[in-house]
Amino acid sequence: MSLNELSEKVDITLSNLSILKTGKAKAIRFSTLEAICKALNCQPGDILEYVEENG
Amino acid sequence: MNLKQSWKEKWVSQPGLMLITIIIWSIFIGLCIQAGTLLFTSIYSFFNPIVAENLYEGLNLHGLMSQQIWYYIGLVALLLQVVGLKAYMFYLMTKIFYTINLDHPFSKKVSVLISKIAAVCFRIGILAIFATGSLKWLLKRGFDVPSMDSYTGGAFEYLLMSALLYAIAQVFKRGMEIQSENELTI
Repeated sequence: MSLNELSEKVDITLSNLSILKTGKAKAIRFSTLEAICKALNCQPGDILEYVEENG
Repeated sequence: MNLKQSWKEKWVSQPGLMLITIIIWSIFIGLCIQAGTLLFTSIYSFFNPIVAENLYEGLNLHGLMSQQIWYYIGLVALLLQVVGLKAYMFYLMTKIFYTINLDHPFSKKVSVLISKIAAVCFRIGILAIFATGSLKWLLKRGFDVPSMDSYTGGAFEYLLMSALLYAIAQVFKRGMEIQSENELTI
């Protein structure tokens, strides 16, 4: 699935999706997470990963 | 063309702010005229001392000029600084009201402008206190100086405004952080 298709399915803009993709997002709403998981048919754990920050 | 379009859009979306901007512009122009006239007449008074009898709207410093020229120069320099800073303060205010955007109100530009105005207010307050003290000192020593409340008055009010604006600038900075977090919340 392309980013364009995903943005249409999830109803968020391409720029916001790009922010999510590049890791610049400060927070994500549960409603957005739910919509992404529904569109990609996955669980939140499949697309979220905890990485400890250095320092 | 961009400026014209953005003015039109702002008039439609934020008419109250634009009305205040126009009022502030008018005050700024008035203060520029005052500062410019005072500067011109004070410089001209060195070539034609009679001009010191009415520097601007009846301000008569001819007595001081004939008694002690250096005190005259010092006092006029102080007055010019106060009037000039007031004009600059209103210029910064016009910039704020033009820059502010109610869709994204917390911007770095506006925060910096508010901090600048706070600093200018502080300087005006300090200069006004110094000018008032200087006038009292000159009067005590028998120099002929008129009352100049319109130039030197309101010193503590300016200091209070400076403190309030500084607090507002801090709140604005925090507002910027919260706005940026909100914008990066998907």
